[in-house]
Amino acid sequence: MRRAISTTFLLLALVSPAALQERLQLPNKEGSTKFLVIGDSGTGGSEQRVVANRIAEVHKGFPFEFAIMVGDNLYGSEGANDFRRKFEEPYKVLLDAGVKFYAALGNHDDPNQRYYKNFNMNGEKFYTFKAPKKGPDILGDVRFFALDSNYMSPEQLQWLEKELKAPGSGWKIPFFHHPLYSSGEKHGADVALREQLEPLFVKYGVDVVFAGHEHFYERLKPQKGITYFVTGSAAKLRRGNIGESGMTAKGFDTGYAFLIVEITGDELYFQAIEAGGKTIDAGVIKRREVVEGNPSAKVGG
Amino acid sequence: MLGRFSCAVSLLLSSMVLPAACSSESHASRTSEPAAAQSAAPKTNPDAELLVDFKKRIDDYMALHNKLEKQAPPLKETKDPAKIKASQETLAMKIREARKDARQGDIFTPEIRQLLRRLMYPEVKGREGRETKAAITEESHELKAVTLKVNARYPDDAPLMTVPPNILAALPKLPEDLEYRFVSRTMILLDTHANLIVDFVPNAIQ
Repeated sequence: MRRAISTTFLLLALVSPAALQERLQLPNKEGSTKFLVIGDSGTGGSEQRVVANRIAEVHKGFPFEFAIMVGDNLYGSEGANDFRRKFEEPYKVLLDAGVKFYAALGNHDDPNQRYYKNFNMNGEKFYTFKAPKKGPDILGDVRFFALDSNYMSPEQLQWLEKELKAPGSGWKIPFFHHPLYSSGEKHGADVALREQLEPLFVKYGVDVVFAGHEHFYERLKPQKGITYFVTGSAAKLRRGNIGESGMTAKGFDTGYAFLIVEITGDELYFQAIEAGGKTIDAGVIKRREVVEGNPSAKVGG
Repeated sequence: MLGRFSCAVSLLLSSMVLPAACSSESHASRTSEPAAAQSAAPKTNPDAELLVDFKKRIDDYMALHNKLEKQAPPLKETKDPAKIKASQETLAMKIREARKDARQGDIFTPEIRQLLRRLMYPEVKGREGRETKAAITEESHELKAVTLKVNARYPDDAPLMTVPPNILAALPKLPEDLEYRFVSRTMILLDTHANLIVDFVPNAIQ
């Protein structure tokens, strides 16, 4: 294990920022909304550190301001040492650089994580926040919705609908732990959750959703116009677990991975990178327009 | 689904005299009474009585919880996770002391257990209920560390099973610091601040 970590450090040392820039497949525009997506990350193990080091390297060339965590932020015990070993130390470079982490709760997370300041949950199990804007140029009017998919109470659903229908949001991006669509053979899609959330997402113009729980990377073919990402392999991996569902646009279940995203105007660019630095998926999603006065009717896309 | 939830809540909030529309499941457990007595008194819904009783037991527990919470380090946003843990453990200790004689069934009485099973049954029965049941029991093999005992700590290394939204919609609403959770087919009442099992319903889903 020690040798693997040393090898990784050596590899990272050999990668120049210029080489990284060549590999970056996002526009990297000034003023755009840039963020990281990780899931199922909190093991404190060597795999988490290898991925975290790779993320830190990517951050040098693609300075995302914040990260969203799609749950299972800390596996096992949750004492002060665990927060240090499973979160603060692996992501120290990012934290020191001022990257803010916004967490959603996974099934391995104590709900009291919401009081941990570095997870920016403001003491709430579900919450919303707007991506920080740089300057007057609105390259990304983006609002995120962190949901507690472990406990989707009627109150949470009511809250979500109220927030989704609020005016002023361009991109509306929910993120939570359990995927509504997945080709995973271990868990698969959470159909009960889908029955509740999907109608709201469709009605209120959601274009992209991020989830975890499955320990691999998968981008689903758009379902009812919405692109679903599964990003649950930032520290855990279930090799060969993506089954033949016919829904997979791109899957990666042979290595650890994370996702970087950039939003500029009505375009969302994404790039999934594995622990070794190789790009495993990239592309762009265009935001569909919502016809004024009828949020369920969409054009474009 | 949400309609049934609203119905259950309205049972709690309204008087004990209920319109028939909300009481489709209410007659099954009611023993018959003499015709004269039935005509003399207004009809009462036995489920409503149970829900009121349940709410009272929950309120009593929360009154104790809130009182003891004031004696524990406050649970507020902090960069120091040790403070979160200290608040959790202190409250758990105080609740255990205060409820040292608590037993299974103090909140989920046999009658309330039956009612809750009945409320959940439509969501887990038959082919349509398979997904819900599967979601509840999906990772049961990871729950061996959970001790099903009143006042037992819910272990850190055991995942919390997802409670499907249709199940939550079917059950009476709980205050913020209490949650319904499942350990295989047993439903527990979890105090999330103290991380304690308050009570449980064995074989909650059939």
